[in-house]
Amino acid sequence: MKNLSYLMIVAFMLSMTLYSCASSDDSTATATSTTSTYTVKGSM
Amino acid sequence: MWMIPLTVFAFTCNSVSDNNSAISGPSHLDNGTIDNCVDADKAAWAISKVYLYTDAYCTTGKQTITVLGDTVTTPTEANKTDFAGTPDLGSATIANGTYNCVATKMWDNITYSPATTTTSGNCAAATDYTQDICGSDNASSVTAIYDPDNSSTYNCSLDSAPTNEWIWIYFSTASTDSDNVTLADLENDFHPPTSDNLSNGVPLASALVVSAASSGSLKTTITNRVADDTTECMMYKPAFSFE
Repeated sequence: MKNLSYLMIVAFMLSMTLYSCASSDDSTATATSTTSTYTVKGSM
Repeated sequence: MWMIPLTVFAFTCNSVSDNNSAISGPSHLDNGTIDNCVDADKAAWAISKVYLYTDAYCTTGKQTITVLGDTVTTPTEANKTDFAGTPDLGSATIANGTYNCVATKMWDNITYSPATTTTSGNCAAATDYTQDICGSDNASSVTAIYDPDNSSTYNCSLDSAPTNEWIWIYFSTASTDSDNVTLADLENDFHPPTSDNLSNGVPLASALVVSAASSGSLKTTITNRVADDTTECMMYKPAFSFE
């Protein structure tokens, strides 16, 4: 029982670490460009 | 004995909706229906540049896509691009945003080719013909054009004395373009719409939303618009849209 509790604490700490890393990546991804390439085509 | 009458229909190449497709005179391009003419399989235009505006009256938030640019003052056939191949005309890096008005500066003179030879033979398939779409043979019916570069108005040239052949065509989400013959003097596709005249310009079906690499298409429709009047090959006014 004691070992099981220990494993659960380790698993919780590991999940928090992963969440923190993911959050850090997300904050980088929210930076968006304010310009884009626009192409004019012809058609008929 | 009952006789079934026979009726012979004479199919004539003409504009059936508003009779405003003649190449000279009317200041708006043709979005009506024309019957019994010949298709074109080539439509080559010289495009100088395209402006996108955030507002519907083509006044604010201007972004520029250069094609030939202002340095080409008198384009030749080599400067024209056949729209049949869905070509890329030009690209630019522009501000992300929503654009409600498009202004296109283009050379008045089109090079087109009939898809089939007409009965009288004046329009021969796979043969190039050229025609001005803003010219007139009558000084009283020349079309006025609005130039956004200097906020002024000028007239397109008389056919007999061509001078400045650059024209501007406007597409706007605010344009109503009723194609009503009685409004011929009020609905000018070579002017952007204004708050007191929404008939100017060609309707833009929806605003252009630019948030990533994207494209828009300047479409010209010459389907059923090449005509043989038994003396020469000519073309009714083309329809334009920006999609």
